[in-house]
Amino acid sequence: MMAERYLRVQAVAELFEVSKATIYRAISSGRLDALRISGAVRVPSEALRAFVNECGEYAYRAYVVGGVSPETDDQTPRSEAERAAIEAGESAALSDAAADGRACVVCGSDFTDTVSVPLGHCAESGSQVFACSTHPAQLAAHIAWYGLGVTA
Amino acid sequence: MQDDRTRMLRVKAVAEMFDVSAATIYRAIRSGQLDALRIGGSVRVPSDALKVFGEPAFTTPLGRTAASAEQAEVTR
Repeated sequence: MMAERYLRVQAVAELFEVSKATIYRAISSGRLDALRISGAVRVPSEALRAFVNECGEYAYRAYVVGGVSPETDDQTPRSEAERAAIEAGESAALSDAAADGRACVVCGSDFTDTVSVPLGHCAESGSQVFACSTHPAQLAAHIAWYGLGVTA
Repeated sequence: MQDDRTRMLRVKAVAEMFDVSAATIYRAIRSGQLDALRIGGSVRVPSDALKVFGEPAFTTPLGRTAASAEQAEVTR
């Protein structure tokens, strides 16, 4: 049995070759378990294993099953806000309003004063779902696909 | 099972390791041959996934030789 180790956020970020912001987001959204020890944040190695498995599932669902191009995904420059939106779409179902086509799948705003683009139909309700035209199309499609199993 | 020595590699690093193009690695991920991670929309390959990546050239299916298999890969 391997002894539990506790890693700093910096060490986890280096291990994954991602920004510290990405790791802090994973912790605050509850996808990566961490401990607070007198103000210091530490990630138990056991929690890291669970997180790796989860990221593996996201990759499988997106690239192997979902038809998302890993090349495009990996090489698209993104702001931290766009990365956060992708992660939110991976782990959470859409709001009822978004599922019914009454609100944007990306930002949740209603469509009274914004231009929206259709993304396809929700597998469950059969409703057409939409996103504000201001969001990147690929990002909106990811969120719709994860949240609802939307098919174009 | 991954242990503490597992590294998460960028696709470019994996491509350089095998001396193939990045496109070849992305294709392997898409076909499910190579396990990958998706983290914030970025792709990483756990080093332990590489242990089971690739097949021995002498067990190429249907009796193809390694040379003909490589030729088929190039022309695909």
